Amino acid sequence: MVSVASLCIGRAGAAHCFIQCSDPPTALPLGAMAISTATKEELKARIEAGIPGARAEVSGDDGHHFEAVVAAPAFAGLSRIAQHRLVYDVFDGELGDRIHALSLQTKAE
Amino acid sequence: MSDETQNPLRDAIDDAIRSNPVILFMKGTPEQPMCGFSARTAGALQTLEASFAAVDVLPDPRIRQELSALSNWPTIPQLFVNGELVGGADIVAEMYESGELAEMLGVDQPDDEDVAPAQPAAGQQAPPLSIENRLS
Repeated sequence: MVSVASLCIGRAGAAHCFIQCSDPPTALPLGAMAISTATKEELKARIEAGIPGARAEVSGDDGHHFEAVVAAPAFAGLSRIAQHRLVYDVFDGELGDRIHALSLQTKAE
Repeated sequence: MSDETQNPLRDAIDDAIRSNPVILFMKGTPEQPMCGFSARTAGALQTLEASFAAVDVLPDPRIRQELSALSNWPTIPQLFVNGELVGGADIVAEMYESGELAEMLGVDQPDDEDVAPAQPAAGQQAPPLSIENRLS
């Protein structure tokens, strides 16, 4: 059980969006993923590998904040929520942690 | 879903989602957002003059963990309408621009589509909810 005192840790850094990264670290995949920053090329490759037929355009050069436009046949008939979840699932546990922010726009094709 | 669990924080979050027709989980408050994504999302609701409850997830990191476990959605903000997750900042922004958000909330879309979602609507805000306080 977390002690009451530790519950207030977040407040000290709350003035900055980066508090998101103070979440308990989640296990990173082994190998190449165990680096601290991500690249748009890596995100593009992982989205396109993770969602059959997907085409992704990813921008963002600071290693933490990215924007992606993803088109995939797999999105057809799905709600926006479900479409975004398919992309989020590719980065299970890394969003908000290693990948600080991923703005998404999804399109069925 | 509504079964009592051994997790009072998750139950409190679930109860807040069920008992508020429009509820936004965000970083900071609508008046003082602590993240650009939360600011944009709260701003869209404020521009529509929609009445909504807001929960600041920052005071206790467990709020965010439990919320994401409950909603199966990894990021903040998260907007729920009538107990259902509508989306995060990107989806809410898309729905605001297309008019779907206004339609879902039963409010009028502003005439000027270029209006910046920034100004809080006086008197429309419900007091911020505090999950923390609900547990004490």
